Amino acid sequence: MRVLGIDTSARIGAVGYRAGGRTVFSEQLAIKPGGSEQIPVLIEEAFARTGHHLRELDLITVGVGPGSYTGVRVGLAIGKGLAFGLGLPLVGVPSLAALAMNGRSEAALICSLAKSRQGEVYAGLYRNTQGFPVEVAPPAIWEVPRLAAVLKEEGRPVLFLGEVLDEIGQDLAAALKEAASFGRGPENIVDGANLAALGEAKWERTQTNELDTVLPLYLRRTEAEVRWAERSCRADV
Amino acid sequence: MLCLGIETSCDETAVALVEDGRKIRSNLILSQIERHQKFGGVVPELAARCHLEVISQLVAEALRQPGVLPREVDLVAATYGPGLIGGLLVGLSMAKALSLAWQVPFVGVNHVEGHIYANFLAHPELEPPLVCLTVSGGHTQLIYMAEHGTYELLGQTRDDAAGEAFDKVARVLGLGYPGGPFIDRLAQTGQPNLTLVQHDALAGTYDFSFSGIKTAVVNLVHHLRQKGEAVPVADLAASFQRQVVTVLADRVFRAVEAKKVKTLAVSGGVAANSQLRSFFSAEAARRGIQFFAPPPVLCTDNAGMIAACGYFRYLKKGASSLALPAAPRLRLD
Ligand SMILES: [Zn+2]
Repeated sequence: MRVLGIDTSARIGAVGYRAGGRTVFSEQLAIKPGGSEQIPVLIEEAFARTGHHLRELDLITVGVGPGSYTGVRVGLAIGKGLAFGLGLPLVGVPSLAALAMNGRSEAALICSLAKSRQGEVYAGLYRNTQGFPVEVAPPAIWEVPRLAAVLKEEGRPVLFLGEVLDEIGQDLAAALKEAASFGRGPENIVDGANLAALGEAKWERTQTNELDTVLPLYLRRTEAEVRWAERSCRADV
Repeated sequence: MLCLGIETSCDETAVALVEDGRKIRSNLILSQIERHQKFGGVVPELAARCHLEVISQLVAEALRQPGVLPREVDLVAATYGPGLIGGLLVGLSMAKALSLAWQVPFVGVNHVEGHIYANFLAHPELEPPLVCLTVSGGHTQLIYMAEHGTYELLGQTRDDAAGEAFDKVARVLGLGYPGGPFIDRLAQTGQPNLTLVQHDALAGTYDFSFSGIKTAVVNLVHHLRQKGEAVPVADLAASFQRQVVTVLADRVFRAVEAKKVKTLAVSGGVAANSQLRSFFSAEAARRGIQFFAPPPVLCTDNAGMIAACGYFRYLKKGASSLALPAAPRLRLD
């Protein structure tokens, strides 16, 4: 299969093309917060440079986060436009699972992280089996100290991955001591070709086109909804 | 030339197909109003979520209804500003990807410029030069259009948009949201006998201010309620509406005079107001100029106007770059 992977859930966006199980290209690009306007140009240029064409594709895969809401929506809107425009199916893949594929396979547990609000992170736990991430705990919102405490309790070595380690890596190291190890450089960024591989496996398993149904992994209601719910609860009393 | 237009700058997800900038082949609008109603206004994050949920089905339907195949589309246009960044990015990204997939040019459209083009869809004979007043919940702009693609912003609101004032006054009078249609209906049963603001601080300019009128209504209502007196809701609606229309008309007809144009157009949600329409049309007739207003469906945010504007913009200035960023505060110059 020839599969395009797009992820715009973090500060660095990724686009990758995988054909016949091999990576044709894997591009990364720093995107402004809430931006990612450059992704369509990146796709266009990567195809032109490698002498390939969008018409060859069989499947579009997009990272659904968790991560920047706006970022994930941009990736999904681009994916939907390409899938509809080329008459292809689309599948969504958790960005944190794609990130876990960067982890060294001997790691007992891989904890993929993404930035959330101040003091909180999105975290998912995985094991890499034959190059594919097996979910141990699904992506969820964690306060950093609580996450560290739970993983410490677990008692197994953990490999942490994600851009957000710049901000919280030290806290995790202090809490988990030698049980914690950390991704380096590009290991902390989603690889678009990995995401494409994950999407391809999902497509083979489900054969379900998610063009009209795929949603970002929001994990959180909007502020307005939360406030409204609080107000209505009080009104009920 | 067939242009697909996408509009996601506020709380309407809209996709349309327009032929040669004048002929509507499909014009789909999915209002999110019910999703925002309980919050009393548009919630940006919720709006962006809603846009993404429906955008692909709307594009499919916009082609299916007129029986157009994707490969027959020649141009893709999308609003890139002004508006709410989260929503803009959904429509803009979708449009860029469609342009890539179909190998057709992409054009970014200014939403306010788009509103002007609602009139070009509704009136095949319309040509610039003209003066256009764009009034809605999001904008109040007085524009001189010398020719396609050439604009001079003559004046704009210094505080609230006209439609915003309608919404706030409707809320304080206990009417529904959005306020425009409720006030319009109620005003027909009232007397415009209350002076809400004594003098027009921006008289002689082309700019507008609506927060004074709005605050006057709010204060009067609170004052009456405190004293336990009945609030003359219909008279207040009529007085408020008359005062807004008077201010708008003052700027508009002075601009028509100064620019020596024979054509006046209005657009935007408030352009659907019945008193505005009848007053402007009578005054235009008295002065011997032509007055144009779109039908109500083209007054509100829609993608037909974006596709029409995109077509004329493409003819004049060519395609936009695929790297075009969303511009929440985009100006019209
Ligand atoms: Zn508008």
